[in-house]
Amino acid sequence: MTMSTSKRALRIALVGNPNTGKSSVFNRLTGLNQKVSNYPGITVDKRSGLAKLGDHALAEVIDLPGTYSLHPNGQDERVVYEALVNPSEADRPDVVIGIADGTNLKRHLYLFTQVLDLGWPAVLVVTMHDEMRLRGQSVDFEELGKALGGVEVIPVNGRTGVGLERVKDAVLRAQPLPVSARFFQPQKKGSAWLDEALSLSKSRTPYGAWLWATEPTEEGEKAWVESKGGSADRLRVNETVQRYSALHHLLKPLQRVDPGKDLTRSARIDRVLTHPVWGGLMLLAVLFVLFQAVFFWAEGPMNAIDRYFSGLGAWAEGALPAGAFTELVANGIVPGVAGVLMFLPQIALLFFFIALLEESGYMARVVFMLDRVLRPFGLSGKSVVPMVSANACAIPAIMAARNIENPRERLLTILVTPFMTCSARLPVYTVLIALVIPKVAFGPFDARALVLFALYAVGFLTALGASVLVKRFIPTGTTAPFLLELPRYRLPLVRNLWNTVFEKSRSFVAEAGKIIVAISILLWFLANYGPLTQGEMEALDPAQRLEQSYIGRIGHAIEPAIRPLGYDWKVGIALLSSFAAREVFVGTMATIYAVGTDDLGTVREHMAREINPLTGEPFFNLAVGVSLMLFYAFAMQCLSTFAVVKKETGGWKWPILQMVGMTAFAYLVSFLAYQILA
Amino acid sequence: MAGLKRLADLRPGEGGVIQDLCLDDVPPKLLEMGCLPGMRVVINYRAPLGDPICLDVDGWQLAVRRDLAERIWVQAEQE
Repeated sequence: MTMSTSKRALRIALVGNPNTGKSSVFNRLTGLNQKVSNYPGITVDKRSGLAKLGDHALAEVIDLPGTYSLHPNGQDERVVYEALVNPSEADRPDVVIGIADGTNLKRHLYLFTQVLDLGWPAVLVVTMHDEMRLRGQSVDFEELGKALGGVEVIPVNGRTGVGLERVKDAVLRAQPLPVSARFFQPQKKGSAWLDEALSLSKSRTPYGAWLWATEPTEEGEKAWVESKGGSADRLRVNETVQRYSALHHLLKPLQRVDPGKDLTRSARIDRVLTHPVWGGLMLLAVLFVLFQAVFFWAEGPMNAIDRYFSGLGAWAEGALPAGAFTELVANGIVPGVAGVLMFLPQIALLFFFIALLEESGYMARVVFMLDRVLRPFGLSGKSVVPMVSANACAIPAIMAARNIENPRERLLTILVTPFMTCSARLPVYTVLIALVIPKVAFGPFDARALVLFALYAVGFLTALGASVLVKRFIPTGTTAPFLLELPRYRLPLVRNLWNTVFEKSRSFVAEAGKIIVAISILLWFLANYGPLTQGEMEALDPAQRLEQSYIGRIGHAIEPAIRPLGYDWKVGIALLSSFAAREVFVGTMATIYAVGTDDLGTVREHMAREINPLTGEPFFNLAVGVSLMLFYAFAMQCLSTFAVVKKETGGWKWPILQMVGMTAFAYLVSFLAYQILA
Repeated sequence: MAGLKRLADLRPGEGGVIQDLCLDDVPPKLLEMGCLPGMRVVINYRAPLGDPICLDVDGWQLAVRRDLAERIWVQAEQE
């Protein structure tokens, strides 16, 4: 949305610690009027939405990432710093709504008073007062507001929305506090350099200049700070000690705690849920339910979508006038769209479970339990979230690696996450398993299910192995701390879950959809046209026509390279197109093998009928099938992943090494598999 | 009387008051989250392999790795 600066809507920023109910407040304020976009240059999600204040005022609300301090520790937190400190920031807000968890006011006010010291007009929302009551804690909110220098402090229930109307009114009244009311006075520390910082940083407040000087973003600034004899970390700690001490004195007369109330409910639950035995069993059970849901509950809707689109394709072919356009719609666009929407039930379910684990607070416990387990591999407990998400799609997973503070652990997580079995591999596996693995049972286990499970296990184990290997080549560098808040267990809010699932699904369809549909159309074109003239093409029979098409020629050109893996030129075409996205494989196979047959059978039936001209046996035998599955398990065939890795690592080096490394490994393993089995 | 101990050496349920922290050893973020000298912390429980360690800090739970807990000295409480 573009608005002129003179007449734009009021812009409100939400600022608070992680796990404060900030997203509940945001969802309550904006309803479904929200959008998620990227901050320019980085892949931090920017959530913003529109809220109605009073009768006619419309305001833009920006949900800034959760942070404990304005001194940034990572990319997410840098966004908060830029929005509030950088005077030339385009998205600079007009008013700040601070969100604080009432059970832990001191730590939350630490951040909020930093905001006040920058001179922002602000309102403080206190959440979790039901939890405060449980713990026997109480605070005089009115007195707190006065003690903060005249800020409106409003208790809000994120579940019911009670209190939000008051917040909307207060936002319109909020004024910056007088300088005398500020909590941390950098002036006291030798004012000469501060004056210089004030003019260099173009900041409006002394505290802004202080933050600028203690958070050097450029070499020049860093040199300047050091020339003044300062150590940024030491200055930062001075501030922390002073600010906490001021808050301690401020809060002491306002807070009351009834003795004898239970303050440790979450800790007691955790003694069971993180127990070496019970906690481990619980974790396995959770993962089991998650995979069960993703693979079995999603099956029905997926088949329904598939059937619907095959019907639609057939209908289009009959209903539209015959010709190139109808061909394109029925065999290019419709299967392309179906290929995207097919995955939607699975992806939505997976995102639902991940959101459920995050919202309830359990995800932090998984991170806690597995940190020590994953560390020998060079990973962190926080690598769990990306690795679990990668079972849906590597793209959001790689973005989720931003939560890892340690740059080395984060890079390793990004590099190995694409080995995890994403849902795009699933249709490839499904088709190939059905084709080459016999339907036999070993006791209660179905051979096909076992093979599928083995492929998932192989993906996970390869990710760990690759991490151990790559770890040697990445310098240790500065060790960032592992500091993890274990939030209280909470009943997830349906509204928050729904918003997350909806938003993630929407962006998957939009992002992946564009690529897949484009590839399907391109492929259809390449398979139907060639260097010969239209007349010459039409004279050929369909199978020859495919060989003479552009794609047939490309396939033949690469055939020598892939013959040792057991593939022919047709598989080669599917492999090449899969480098745009793996799920294209099935669609490509459908397009290629549908040529020359008139019946509308499934891809599998077409592929099963394919005969190897050298042996006279079916082309897709065990050796070819296994070799192909392993190739898909290991090769990095996903341009979107490549793009997101480039963005997240800030250069071409890692995505290129990753793509070359993974694909070379895939080639080697598939080669060995084929040579041994054939 | 109990004396100075490393936080990592306390058992679950034991607590102590944080002593002066060496700034070269601990990240500023730890202090910003409220783990300042003078603050009382209690070991809540440990992860299955004994690491990380979950602390109670002012009524909320913070997990730190053992290597960091080895660099935090506390005045241990009397048993």
